[in-house]
Amino acid sequence: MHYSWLELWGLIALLALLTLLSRSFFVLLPRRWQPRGRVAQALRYAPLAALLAITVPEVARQLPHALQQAAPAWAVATDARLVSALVLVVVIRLTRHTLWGLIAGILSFLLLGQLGG
Amino acid sequence: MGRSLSQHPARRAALVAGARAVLPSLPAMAVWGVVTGVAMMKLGLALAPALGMTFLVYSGTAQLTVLPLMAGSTAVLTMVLAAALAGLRFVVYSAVLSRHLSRVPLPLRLGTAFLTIDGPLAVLTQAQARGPLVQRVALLNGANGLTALVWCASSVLGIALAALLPLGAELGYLAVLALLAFTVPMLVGRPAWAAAAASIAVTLLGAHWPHKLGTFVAVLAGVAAALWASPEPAPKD
Repeated sequence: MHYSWLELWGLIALLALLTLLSRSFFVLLPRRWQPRGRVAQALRYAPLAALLAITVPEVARQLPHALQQAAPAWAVATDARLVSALVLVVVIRLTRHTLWGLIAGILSFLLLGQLGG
Repeated sequence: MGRSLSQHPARRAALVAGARAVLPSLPAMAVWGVVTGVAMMKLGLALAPALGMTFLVYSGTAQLTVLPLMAGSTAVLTMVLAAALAGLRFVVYSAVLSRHLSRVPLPLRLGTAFLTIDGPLAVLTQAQARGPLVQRVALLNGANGLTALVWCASSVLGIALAALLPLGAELGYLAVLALLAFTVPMLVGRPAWAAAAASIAVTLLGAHWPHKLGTFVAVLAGVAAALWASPEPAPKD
């Protein structure tokens, strides 16, 4: 890593500007270019879509590897990432408590991580 | 502005309600913050630039995008472009925000937009799904303020403890689980399930696309699916 003082703080300034401009892009547009009606309604699902788009690839990351094992079914069934995510989802849907689901998910991830060595 | 913001009783209640509603997202924020702080120090950033990134850039996505590129001595503008592509979902977020902020004075509008990341925006849209919004900007900024506090504090903690923490992919996955736990309760109703199915399909398909473009296209696909699955034109908010 070889950056001068100017390059480093220039990068930080540009990234800060980027954060501001990307997060306020439509906010700064004239009103008539802002989404409305049904599109505005559907946009309320954007955070849900984004959160899943960020997390699901991480959950599934070991799957291609597991499927290439000698016993793929067993490898998938003991995939710590996949199983702990499933445990978390099921516990949250059953108990309606986010925290219990999170605790169950973390415990199963740590437990399966131990088994997998 | 600051005086009226905190002294108006309804605004004050909304600020507190926003802060409370964003609580379930904070474990994920805290873990990501520590991970990002440690990553910056392990790369060899000095203390001042690391703190500068934490407080001025305020984007885990941008920071975690440029860090590996910095290790390879990539040109500054290339890194900015990569961070812009990786953070395109925030442009969609600004579209979500635009209507809610249209009557707010410009400085507050810009400040609010700058601070609005995944958790606080989800708080706003979830509140919108439950009924008419009261004091929505204060609700959002209650969530924004607490989120910023937790993100910055945990990043600073990561920066301070970088030498002590043997961080691997393991801790990062705990943040994924925490984020998932925050997301699951949002799955209510047909448009939500349609958005989820479309987003998951596209994000798995695009898992290896460059510049995290899979994430961006997945958000667009999710919104399109929600639009398709919505019953009939809903009353204007």
